[in-house]
Amino acid sequence: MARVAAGDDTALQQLFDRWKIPLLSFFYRSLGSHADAEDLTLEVFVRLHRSAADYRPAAKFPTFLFHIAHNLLRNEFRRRRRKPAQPVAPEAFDYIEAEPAAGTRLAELEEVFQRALVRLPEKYRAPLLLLHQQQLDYPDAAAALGISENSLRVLVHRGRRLLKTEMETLS
Amino acid sequence: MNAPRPPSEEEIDRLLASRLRDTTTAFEARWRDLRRELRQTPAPRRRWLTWPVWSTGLAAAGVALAAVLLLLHPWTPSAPPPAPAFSPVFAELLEMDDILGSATPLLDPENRDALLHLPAQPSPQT
Repeated sequence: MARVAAGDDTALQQLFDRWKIPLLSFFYRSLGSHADAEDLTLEVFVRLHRSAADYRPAAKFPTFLFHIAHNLLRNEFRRRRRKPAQPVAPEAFDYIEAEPAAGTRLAELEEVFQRALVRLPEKYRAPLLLLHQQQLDYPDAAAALGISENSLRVLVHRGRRLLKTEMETLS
Repeated sequence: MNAPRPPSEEEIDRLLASRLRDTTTAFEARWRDLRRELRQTPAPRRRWLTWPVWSTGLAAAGVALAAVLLLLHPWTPSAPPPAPAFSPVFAELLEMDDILGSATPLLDPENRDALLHLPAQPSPQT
């Protein structure tokens, strides 16, 4: 970030290469729209560029990054009306190539999973994604969301239960 | 017809952990355009005057100003009260007194005493 603040163009490119897929995946799972996920991912990098000079490494970089991402997401929810989902084919996800046999089963669940996830209230969805998809630990995820660790544990527990119930309802 | 098998905990975990594999070419093209724009507008310099800075500075400046005013305040005894304002008639009497105070008596002291002891009522003419 210091290099970005100093005008080092390659540093911004390195950040983009490292974080574009995690951000796209986070936004897609939250919104269910690939086009919106792309818009918000680019917006994150605009904000990173603007805030590079003020960045102080008080927290880990992923915490800082997903704090920005989560704020953008909340603004997006306030701004937009419900848009039709633009689902991505299961082949676009990494579980397909990891284990083809298990991947087939996950591909079957993909549509129901994504629909159930988008129906989940944001306060439950974001913690699940930060912990599982982004592999943040509890303190970092709590800091990114601006809540206590205890609150985070409660939200994760309830969110998981709701997600499973929703998937079973939609199946 | 078999009911669909509900997702297991492990399957939910793996779906939650899944990520997209790649970006689209259109997205990469948009990034290149955006990067070009960002290159032309360098990152803003650090903003020193964030609100905690300027509010603290403002408070400190206020305290310093008060201290300077206290130091420069002339701690001399208070000035004498202004002379009382007399009524115009009384002022005229005082002015006459000042003038007459230095005047030479017109009569010798013995004549003045004799005059002062003359009876107020003239005796009738016989």
